[in-house]
Amino acid sequence: MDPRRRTRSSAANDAAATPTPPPPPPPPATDPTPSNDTAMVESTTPPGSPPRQQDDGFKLKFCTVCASNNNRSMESHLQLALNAYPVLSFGTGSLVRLPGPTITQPNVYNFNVTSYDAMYTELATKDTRLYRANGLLPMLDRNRHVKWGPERWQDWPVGVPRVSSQQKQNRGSIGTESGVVDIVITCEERCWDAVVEDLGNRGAPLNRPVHVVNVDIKDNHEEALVGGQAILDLANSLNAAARREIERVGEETFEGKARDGFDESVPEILAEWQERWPHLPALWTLAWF
Amino acid sequence: MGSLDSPAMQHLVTARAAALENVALYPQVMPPILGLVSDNRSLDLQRWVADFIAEALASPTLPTEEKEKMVLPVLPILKSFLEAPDNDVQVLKSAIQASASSYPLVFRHIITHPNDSHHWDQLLAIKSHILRNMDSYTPGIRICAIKFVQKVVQTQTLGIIADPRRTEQNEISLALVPRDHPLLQPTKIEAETSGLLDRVLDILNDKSSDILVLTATINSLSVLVKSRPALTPRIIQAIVHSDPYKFVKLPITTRTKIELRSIERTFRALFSGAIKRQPNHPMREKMDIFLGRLAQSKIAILDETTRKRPAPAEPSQDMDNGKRQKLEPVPIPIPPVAAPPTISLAQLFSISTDPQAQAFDVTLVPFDIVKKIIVPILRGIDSAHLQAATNMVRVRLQTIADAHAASRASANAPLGDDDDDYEPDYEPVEDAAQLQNRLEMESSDLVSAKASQVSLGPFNLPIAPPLPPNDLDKMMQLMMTKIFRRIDDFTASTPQKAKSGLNRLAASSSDRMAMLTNFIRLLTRPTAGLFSGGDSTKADTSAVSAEQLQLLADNGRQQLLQYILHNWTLRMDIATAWLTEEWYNDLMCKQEFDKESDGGRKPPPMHFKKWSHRFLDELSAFISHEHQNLLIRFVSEVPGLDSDLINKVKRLALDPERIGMTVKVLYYLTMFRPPVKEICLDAIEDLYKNYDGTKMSTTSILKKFRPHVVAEVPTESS
Repeated sequence: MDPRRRTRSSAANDAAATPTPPPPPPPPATDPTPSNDTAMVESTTPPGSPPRQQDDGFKLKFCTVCASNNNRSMESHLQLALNAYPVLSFGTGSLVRLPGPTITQPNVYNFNVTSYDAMYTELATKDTRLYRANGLLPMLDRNRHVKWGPERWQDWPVGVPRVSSQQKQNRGSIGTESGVVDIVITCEERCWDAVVEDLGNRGAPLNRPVHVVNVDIKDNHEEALVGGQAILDLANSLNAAARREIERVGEETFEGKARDGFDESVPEILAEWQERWPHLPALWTLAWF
Repeated sequence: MGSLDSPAMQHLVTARAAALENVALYPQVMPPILGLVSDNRSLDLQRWVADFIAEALASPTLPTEEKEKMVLPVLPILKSFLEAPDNDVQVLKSAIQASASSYPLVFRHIITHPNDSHHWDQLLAIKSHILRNMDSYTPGIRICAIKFVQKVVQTQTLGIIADPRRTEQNEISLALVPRDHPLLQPTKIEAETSGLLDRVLDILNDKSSDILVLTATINSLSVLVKSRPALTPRIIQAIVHSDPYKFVKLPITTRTKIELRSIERTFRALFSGAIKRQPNHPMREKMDIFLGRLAQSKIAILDETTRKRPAPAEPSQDMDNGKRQKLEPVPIPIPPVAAPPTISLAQLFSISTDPQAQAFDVTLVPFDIVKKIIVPILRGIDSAHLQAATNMVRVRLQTIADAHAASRASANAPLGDDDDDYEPDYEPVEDAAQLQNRLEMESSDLVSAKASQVSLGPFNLPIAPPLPPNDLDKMMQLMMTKIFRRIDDFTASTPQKAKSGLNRLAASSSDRMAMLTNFIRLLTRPTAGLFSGGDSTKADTSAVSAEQLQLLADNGRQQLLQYILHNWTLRMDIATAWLTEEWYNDLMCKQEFDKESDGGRKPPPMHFKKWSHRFLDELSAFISHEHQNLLIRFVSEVPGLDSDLINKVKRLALDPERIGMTVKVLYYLTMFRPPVKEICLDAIEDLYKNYDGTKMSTTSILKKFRPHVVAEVPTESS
């Protein structure tokens, strides 16, 4: 491990005693000042921690997926979490790849064991100017205030409770304790394919339906921002429909059947959403956990 | 998990949180919760408990043994949830999910406890309830039922036994069932499972399903494809024979587009997973074809709306069926008007061409009716029509005025009879015939203009300019060379067939002889002009004059002759056939000529004589005594044998080497062609008398037929 990070992490938190995974960053609200100056400058950039909307109503559980779990999935993760949705996020790539000084020298990290904070520190040390100019540092700074580090979809043990102290500190973790979600939103068709195929390979042991939606978002900061809003919009529409189904108690018709349930209304909701966001082509399937 | 306000609920939430923190607590937490729900039927509690059971039984961290112990008391609760008359959607969903998770657990329990029919019956009751209601559930619940069936199929088929020594780690499947199990009889189970799989596969072709059910089914089949290779062929077979796009409802909307893409991609994900696991999958080709078909029909469905215009909204039943006319304003046809001496004002102003309408006397219509209809008519008149009609009358007037002006220009035009007093505006200064002529010309122009504007008649290509004679000749030669080559090909390739003799019909089969016959007839007959049917106009319009045609044919004949002579020993039959056709053609021409012979017409040229003579002349250069049989055959088959021809043959005897042959030919003709017997005998006699070295061979013949010749000659010579 990078010596700088070792000293830093051991100083930061006693959780470093657990060998793996490395310790989570301190929650943003309680630790506003990172240890070096650069980070202090950057810390003004991320979205501050607005008061989380406390909403006791029904919430669908979401999961956002992109290639590296850094840009698109994290932007939407943040947006959903800010709106009090239970949310997880993952990447489907084999490694976390971030742009480097040239196209042939990307910064590569391992999933699950590298924290956003560690990446932030490393890149800030390498070339602050470059990585601030290309948006990496602001992005990582945002990410490290959302959750601990990038997670790989294929390594996600679906259904295993997410109750570690580190996982509890992630934004949007409330409601995801059981380790399952209702909706997976991918940000690229490649990721959608990877997710659907992976779910088939897992053998669907949980027998739990999951809607896998793709929203095609270009991998840059601006599009990620727009895409995040679009995903939030979609989440709101889906959640409203799901809540209608939950609240429709005793509304059964004479034949004993309710009106269209939530699951079957998803294609229609998605189509309506697509009319609002025509430049983010959508794709959908019902898969199984 | 619904709203959880009451303190009891808060307790439950705490219990669940504890179980999530430490899965080992589940077995302790479960029984009190189950007890709670059996007393209290509040909806929130039911939902919560059903969800909790599903979550607990699905938990990947809890060991199977623990879950197996936990599942048995759960079964009655699940059963009651499923069978409750006012079942809530959420409760049903969770209960069916929990049932799907329970099935393998109970199955395993029954394997190890063969006599526990109590729990087995409970499970069977749950299963039969779900199966019975599967098709009547709403789609959201139905997909859970489909998943349940998939789980049952997976459990009740043979799985892979990874390690026979450690049974607890093996996947729960039929493979674990001993053959002599009292409750689980493998044969029965296999039959049931096969039926269940068929039921799932039927969903692919079920019209009542929707896209949610379809994708949920595909994704659950994907699990079977992976875990049960033995079922893969059946599943893929069913998929590739299905038509997934029938779930898509037209017209194309955003939703349809998303559905089309989603269905295609879901299938693709299933197949690509199968292919990745087994790159040389035996059904790979079928999968590829299916995916290609999906992609194509998707494009086709989308294209239908993106490219095609919707049908125009105008009525089409009154339109011409062949071709609808352009919708631009059609120029109003201008009917022709009669010549001034006969033209009336009514004619001048009448628009309709219908004679009945023209003859209609408007004054017969009662005045009050006229009053009623005139206003609506005037209101309904299309301004373009009115304009056109006015213009039409203007054109007519202009036409007549032009005619007047033209006749005035010719100074010596005599004044015609001034009898058209009903047209006082114009003084007809030209004579009636002139005017009529002119008007007729004008009007016929107008008619033709109208025809070309209005009706789209058949389109005729302009007749190509005639080929210059030289080119024609060249083309003909080229063509004949080709035909000869083709005939040669036949000679080389086709085996000799048995001859059908006189019963043969010429040119009835596609062999060499048929081709030859056709070719020769084409060469000989059209030039004779026999079949023009006496249609003189046709002859006039033809591009080539009769003389040219004759010349062309003669050139052709010459070429044919050369062709025959080029390899005459093999092509003698062609010569015979050709000359026979020439003879027959001549005969026909002569008959025709004799029939119509009213003097003054030139007799038709006789080709047979000319070309048979030429042929023999040419042949005489090559022929020798070894071709005797060929010559005999030729003269015996060729028709129209006359003295000239026989004399030609006779003259062959000028060559001493050919005397024997010549005599034999003549003798043969004497014997077998009675009509020319006398001519031949004359020839033989001539040979006997006037040719050297012929006496030996001719004497015996003459002795037989004309003994007096043989008798008198010696006296002359002596």
